Amino acid sequence: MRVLIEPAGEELSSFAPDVRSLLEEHSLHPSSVLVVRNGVLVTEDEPLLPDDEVRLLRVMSGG
Amino acid sequence: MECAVCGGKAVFSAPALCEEHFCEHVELVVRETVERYGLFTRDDRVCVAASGGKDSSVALHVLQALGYRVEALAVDEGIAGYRESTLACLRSLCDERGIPLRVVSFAEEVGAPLDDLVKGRRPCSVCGVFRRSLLNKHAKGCDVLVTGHNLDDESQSVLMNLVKASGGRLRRGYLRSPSAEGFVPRVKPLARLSEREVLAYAFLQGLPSSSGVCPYARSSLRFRVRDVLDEYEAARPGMKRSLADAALRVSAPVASSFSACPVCGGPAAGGVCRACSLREELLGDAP
Repeated sequence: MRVLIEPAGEELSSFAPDVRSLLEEHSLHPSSVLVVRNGVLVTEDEPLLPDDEVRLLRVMSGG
Repeated sequence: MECAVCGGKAVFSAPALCEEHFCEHVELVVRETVERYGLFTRDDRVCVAASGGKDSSVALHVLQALGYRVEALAVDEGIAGYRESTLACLRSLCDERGIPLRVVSFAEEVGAPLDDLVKGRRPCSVCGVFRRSLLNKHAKGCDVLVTGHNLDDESQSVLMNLVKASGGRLRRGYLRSPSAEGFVPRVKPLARLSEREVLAYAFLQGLPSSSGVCPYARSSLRFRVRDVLDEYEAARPGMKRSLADAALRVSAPVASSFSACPVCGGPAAGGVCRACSLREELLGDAP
């Protein structure tokens, strides 16, 4: 599946079966991101499919 | 994961809530913070220090939805490649919701954009002095000045004040600044919500908000403290809230007395105010 990390704009691909595995794959703690699958906010236990488009929104302040 | 209220599909995990109940939760926390700590009332004129980022955008949206009389005040510090895009988001939000917006700039009010003022100094220190001064000056006539500080910001401030051994700042007032002649009281209605909750709410409400990061922020102590606290929070969830709660318990705002700055007439701790003395140092003339 296609994964986009925001706001960095980094794009990568993954075969992770669920959100928790995807975050572990990229050493991201669940509290540090919001996960949006096909435009919908989802929790860590959600399964992922190869055709999904996932956005990882980093939780950070503008400064 | 199921919503703890209705059993529907959760969109957020801590607390586990569906979209409808998560948004209700955020609005309830803000309303309870405002009412429980007496931050302001529906009769008050509420000025929100806004930037176009998620925190102040959520503050504007929620406070307007709760029936408060909000207006937005933005400071264009003059940070090339950053502030233009965040202000575009803010204009869009205010236009959509009919919120009055004023934008004041360092270039017009201080005499130069921040990019030209830094000159080897710590940018956040220079910016903070002028920003606070301009926000206070232009919020005059309003009853309170809202800032979008969230629970993460507050926990970072606690640790920064401990690192700097600044006990006075720690006690200065967590949710509401102490009353002082010449100062519009600053209040923090989002301070009991985590940064993640604020971001999720902004996303779910489709708020136009910028996700850009200030190019100067990476050099700040706050940025390093944030990374440390994020690590601790991952290892021991709830630590940020504990730190913020500690500040709430020791908070004992004491009214301070200020005199009028002989240069600008704004509040000063004695003699010329910090903004005018810094301007003199940087630009060599009086406003």
